Amino acid sequence: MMSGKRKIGRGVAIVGAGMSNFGMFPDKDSKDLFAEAFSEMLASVDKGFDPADIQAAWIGNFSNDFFVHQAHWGPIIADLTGIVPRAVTRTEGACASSTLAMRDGLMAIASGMYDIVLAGGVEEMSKCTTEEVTEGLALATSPYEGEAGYTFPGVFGALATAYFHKYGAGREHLMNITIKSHENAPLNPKGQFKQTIRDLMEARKAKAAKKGEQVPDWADEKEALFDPRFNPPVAWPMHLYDCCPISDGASCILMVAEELAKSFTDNPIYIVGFGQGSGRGLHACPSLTSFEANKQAAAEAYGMSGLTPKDVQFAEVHDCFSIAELIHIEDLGFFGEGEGYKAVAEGETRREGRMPINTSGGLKCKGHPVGATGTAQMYEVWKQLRGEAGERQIPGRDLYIGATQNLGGTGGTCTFTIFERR
Amino acid sequence: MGLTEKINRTDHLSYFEGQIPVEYVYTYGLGLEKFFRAIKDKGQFLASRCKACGVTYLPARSFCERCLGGIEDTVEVPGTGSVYSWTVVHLNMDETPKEEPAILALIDMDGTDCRFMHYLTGVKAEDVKAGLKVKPVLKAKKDRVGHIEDILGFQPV
Repeated sequence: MMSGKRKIGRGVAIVGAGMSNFGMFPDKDSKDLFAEAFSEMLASVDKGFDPADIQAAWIGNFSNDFFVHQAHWGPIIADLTGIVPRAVTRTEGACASSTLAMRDGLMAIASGMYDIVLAGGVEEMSKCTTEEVTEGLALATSPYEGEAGYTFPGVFGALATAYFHKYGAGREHLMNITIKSHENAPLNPKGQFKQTIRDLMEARKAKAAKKGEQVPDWADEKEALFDPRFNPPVAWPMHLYDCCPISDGASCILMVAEELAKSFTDNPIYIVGFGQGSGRGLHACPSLTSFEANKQAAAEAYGMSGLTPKDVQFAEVHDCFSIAELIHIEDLGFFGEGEGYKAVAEGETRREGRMPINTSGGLKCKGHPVGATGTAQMYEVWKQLRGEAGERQIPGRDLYIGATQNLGGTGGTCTFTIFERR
Repeated sequence: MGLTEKINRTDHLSYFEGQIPVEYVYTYGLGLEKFFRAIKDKGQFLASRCKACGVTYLPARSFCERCLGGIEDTVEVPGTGSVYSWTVVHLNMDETPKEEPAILALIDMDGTDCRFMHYLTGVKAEDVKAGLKVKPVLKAKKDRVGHIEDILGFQPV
């Protein structure tokens, strides 16, 4: 049986977006964080609207069950945001949970079932120790990977080794990604880390001087990042600065049927392509330098939108580890296989480069409260496309096509979403 | 087989045991933090009043679900109320019988738009009626730690 070209049955637009600050917040719980995101979303709807018009919501949450011993977040968020008694459903796809929330909202509007829906996500991770978070996240690896010692830093370490071996790249190329993300970090007031690598080096030098210790004499960022005192190994070749942090946070977007969009704002952002794929465990996947799920997601989204990788002007991709960013930008077709690390070295993924990647600072600097990450990536694309990204606005470009790529597990779930400003 | 018995066939090779170490830290959040501090330090019941909608939430909370705005204002309420509904618990979590059955009530709290869930004490189960007026019994100040069990229960006025 031939399946026809996939399409979105009825157009869907984003007309509001919000995110909480990301970071480690000992005094705030998931409800406080979601209230921050929801309040900003309400204020972002240019022509205003009555939240009582929200007909249904989807909330991504990976594992607050494990992290704070509380499950069933749908109705908790419904209670908080006045959506009771209308439907709120929790979605789970590991670190891609809130993109799946958006996907459900997209399908619901496209099908005609609802006209106005909320999609978002939340995660509260910092109340656990690093060991507990590592165990909790490892619930999303394929069966036996975690038992065999492959928690996430190890998985991505093995991917990096495979990439190095296949293409002749090295740690210095991954450092280009870290340095680039940290260049964007000070420009994002909601991010967890706001320092460049240079800032962090200077802070370390000052600390050493104050303690009367030998002050490190690093010539540049890479020399510092090669110094294990500054950047210790976690799971070689993944060092500390290759890994995103443990974070708390929430984010959400308001989605409406295309024909209603202009009654909310004159500047809606349309979802024109979406794809989602699934992948095998590490022991069974055909390549460690590409995710099958990414390729599937990209093919679906490009096919649906009629766009090609060349049409995408910038993207937020899932840089849970530095190597992941490199694999994604190749899988999505922004750069050829084995070419990504060279393009990064030439600055093409910087804000002023040909293809800006992770202007938000990425998961590395903005933070990665896993269930909130998908819709937080969309928040960044919403800001950039509307020219509202402040100091980190991509310079000198008329932006109209952006994209987000969100990964769950060890590539078990990948999504790719393309957004358009008309 | 008892309700809590696990199927545990460790003689099967298709089975291996795992342990996940987890210690939970439960965060009250911004609203409940105020509530439990007031219980612990002053023995007071602290509610949040939303000026915009006139709704009083107990325990205190930080966000109004009706007008979708933040709530900063707190207001002390007496902690008294009347029983709305109740149940009598006979079994422990592991299904062993409790020495004394416990009465768990939902109490309409005076001066608020909310109910409170807690034990009823100093009353026999057969004497509990809807509308029974109750007041809280707190632990001594030195024993209060900022936990729901700082309140021992509610007893008839």
